[in-house]
Amino acid sequence: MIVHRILAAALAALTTLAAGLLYADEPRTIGDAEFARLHALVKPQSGESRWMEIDWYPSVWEARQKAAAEGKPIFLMAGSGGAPAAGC
Amino acid sequence: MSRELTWWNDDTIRLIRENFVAASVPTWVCRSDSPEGEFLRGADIDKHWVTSSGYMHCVSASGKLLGGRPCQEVLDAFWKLPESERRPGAIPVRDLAPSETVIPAPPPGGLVLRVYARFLARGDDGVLRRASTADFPLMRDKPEVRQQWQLFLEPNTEYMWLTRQEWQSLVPADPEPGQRLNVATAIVERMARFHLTPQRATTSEGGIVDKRSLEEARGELVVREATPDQIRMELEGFVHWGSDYDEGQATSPNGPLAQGFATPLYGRIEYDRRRHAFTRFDIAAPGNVWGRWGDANNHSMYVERPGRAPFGFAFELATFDSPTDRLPPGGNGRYVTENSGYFSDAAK
Repeated sequence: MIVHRILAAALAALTTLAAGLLYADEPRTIGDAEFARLHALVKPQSGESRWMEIDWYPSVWEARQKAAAEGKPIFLMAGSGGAPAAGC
Repeated sequence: MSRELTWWNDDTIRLIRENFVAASVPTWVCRSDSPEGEFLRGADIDKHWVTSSGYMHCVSASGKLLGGRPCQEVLDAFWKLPESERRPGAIPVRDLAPSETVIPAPPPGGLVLRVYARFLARGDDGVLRRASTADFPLMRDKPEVRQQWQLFLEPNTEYMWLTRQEWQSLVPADPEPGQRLNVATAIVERMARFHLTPQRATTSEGGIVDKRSLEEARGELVVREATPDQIRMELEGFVHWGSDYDEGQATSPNGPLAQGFATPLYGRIEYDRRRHAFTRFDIAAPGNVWGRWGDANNHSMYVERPGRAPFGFAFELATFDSPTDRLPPGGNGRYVTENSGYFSDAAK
């Protein structure tokens, strides 16, 4: 029973320590698996950010040249501070 | 709003990909003294692109305004044009001289990184997870607001540029395992001021941190492995800009604490010594944002949360399999002009 209590206390202390590390802003050493998890956590998942499935030309003129060559209309998406495809 | 959740569906994407050539630009292009500005003004675009972001319009290569969002009606309008305005090759469009272009291209021989930004939250176990609208107290009881903001919780994508000289400075000349190499101040400060900015997830305006707000920006590469073929490195770093965190002041809505952001930087970077090129440039920045997340009038936006709220960034190499990878940093060519300080560490 005493052993169980000691183990439970140790586990609680480790959990608190781990949570503290998770909340810390300062960098700590992380393994490849945790790095991969953090990196993937932020990146778009399948079905997200679907506007990025469009091929966006960065210049109106370049889009115009391609549209003229292919006989297609031009679709323009614009934002006041920047191109919405890259930061709406 | 251009990032309307239900509009970006399979049908819309197929319609655009099969029938249109798409461009994504800042609205100021239509007012610029340039062939592109003249072309847009000729189609009366300047009368539409006035204030807020997210305008959608369709035009012909001949300069006729066809309508707003891509749809069958827009295609019908296009097909009603004389053949001389829509036949492939019918409209000659000359090449522009470099001095005539208004959107800059990535630096020659430079490095381009995709930058993803996402709202995060912590589960009951303290582990980071993707945020949902239920994680934001200011919108929690407002179903319509939650629906409206759902799409902003999906990652925002933009781009970071490094010159050839800058990325070459990240390659150790005689690498040995355990060797440490400081990342140039200009690079890590650029990352902090222009890219590690949660504001970019909600608006196309602003999003550049004043150099005077930068509290700390440091990065160090650690060589893990060096062979004749490859150098494998890890990035360790830290960025803090804006206010210092103060739990008692980080209240919401409209609390007294100005916004601040801090994040560790972790990276896994691989360099091909035969090809003289990076083959992996993955960075994760699982940070925290706090304080006032204000709108144009500095009133708390629905995404503001009390205390320290997780917000993450991820970087990776651009592949250039789409012209999208050539969009300028922040989606705005003015990010990289001489006055912005993007390619220099001059005080701004």
